[in-house]
Amino acid sequence: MQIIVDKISKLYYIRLHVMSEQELINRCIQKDFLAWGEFVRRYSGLVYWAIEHRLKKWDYFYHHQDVEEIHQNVFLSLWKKNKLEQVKDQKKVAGWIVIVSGNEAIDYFRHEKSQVPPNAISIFEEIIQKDGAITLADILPSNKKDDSAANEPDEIGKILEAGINSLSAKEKLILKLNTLYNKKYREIAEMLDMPLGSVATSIKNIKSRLKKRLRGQI
Amino acid sequence: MKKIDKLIRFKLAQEAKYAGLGPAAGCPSDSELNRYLSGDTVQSKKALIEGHLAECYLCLDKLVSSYEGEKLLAKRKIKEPPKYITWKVKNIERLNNKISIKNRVDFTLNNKALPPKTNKLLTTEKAVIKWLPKNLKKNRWLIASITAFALSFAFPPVFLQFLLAAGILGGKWIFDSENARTLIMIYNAWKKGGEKEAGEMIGALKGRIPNKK
Repeated sequence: MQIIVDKISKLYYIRLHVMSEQELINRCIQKDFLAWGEFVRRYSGLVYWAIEHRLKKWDYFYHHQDVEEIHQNVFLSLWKKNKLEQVKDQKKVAGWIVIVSGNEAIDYFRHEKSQVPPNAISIFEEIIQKDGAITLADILPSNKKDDSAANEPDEIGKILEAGINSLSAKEKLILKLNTLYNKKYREIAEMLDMPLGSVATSIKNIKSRLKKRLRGQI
Repeated sequence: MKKIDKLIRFKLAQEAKYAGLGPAAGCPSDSELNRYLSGDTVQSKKALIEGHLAECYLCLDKLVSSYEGEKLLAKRKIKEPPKYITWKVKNIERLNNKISIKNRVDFTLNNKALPPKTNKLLTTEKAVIKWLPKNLKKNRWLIASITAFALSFAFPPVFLQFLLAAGILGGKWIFDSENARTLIMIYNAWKKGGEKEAGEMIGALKGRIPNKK
């Protein structure tokens, strides 16, 4: 009898392994303990990654124990507060889990460590430091690097700002993903659910329009 | 990187730096963002979210992170956390409350809080036993045999294999039943010690059949 029960248990585990995300979520909401075990198996690593990713990106100083604590908090809130109800009708939940884990990390630092979120994401700071160090004057062609061009960077900045503000919301979004986050065309297309060709054309158009505005300045 | 790209990047990073990362009133909910990422948003809502994402660095960062996480998970490139961390959250209901840092350290150092290996199995057993109705359990071999027999017609190329499986499972059902097992025991006793032994066995087994001496 014991062997049979073991075999059936194994079969049930196999079934859980191949279960769709939606079904798994529904079972977790119904407090199926075995389904919960499978849910944890699938997403424990992702939650851990998401916490570390957010903390690193937002330049928090953290310890390994903080990550553990946050990891536990995330799963506690999913199980006890039934947060999974929010995504019970969604096809994919991995993205949502990443967001929830990141939020939990920030909340933890706000409440337990009394640390407010930073003003900027560290990668932006790096860009400013790196690109700012070379300054706009370095980017300018050599014939512009005379004393009369002392106000050039400001002027260029203003023109560029006006140019960026004239873009449509979607264009601005594409531009940010491409330049700030270094996302490839394919990745942007996947993220925004757009054809690859449209993304490529958009980026080309945006840059040529901005170039036109800056013509004569760089 | 081209000059123009560097300029744009610098300008946008500057803008992002001064924009701050606090949540704004119009921020879409986390589930809405996820729905957007899954391509499961209606067109009108999509435009609204895109309009917001173009201005809000917090939401844009969430979107990018969730995309990256999803991709890593799909490619199985995410490193598993230490096992005891996963174990703790798996057994969240049993633990009832959060494990304090002190206990966690004890756990890590002594490994005393590790559940016995059988714990997981016991939970599984209970769930499975609850899951299977009584009759289904009793006649599982018969059901398996009938299923194999039915499948032999469904898949003609493997007709014989399924038929054989049906036979084996049927045989298992017959010999697994209580009466069959009793008969086998009596037969073995008879073989060993003749009628007397068999009689004793019958009496001992059931206490119903009188022992003929």
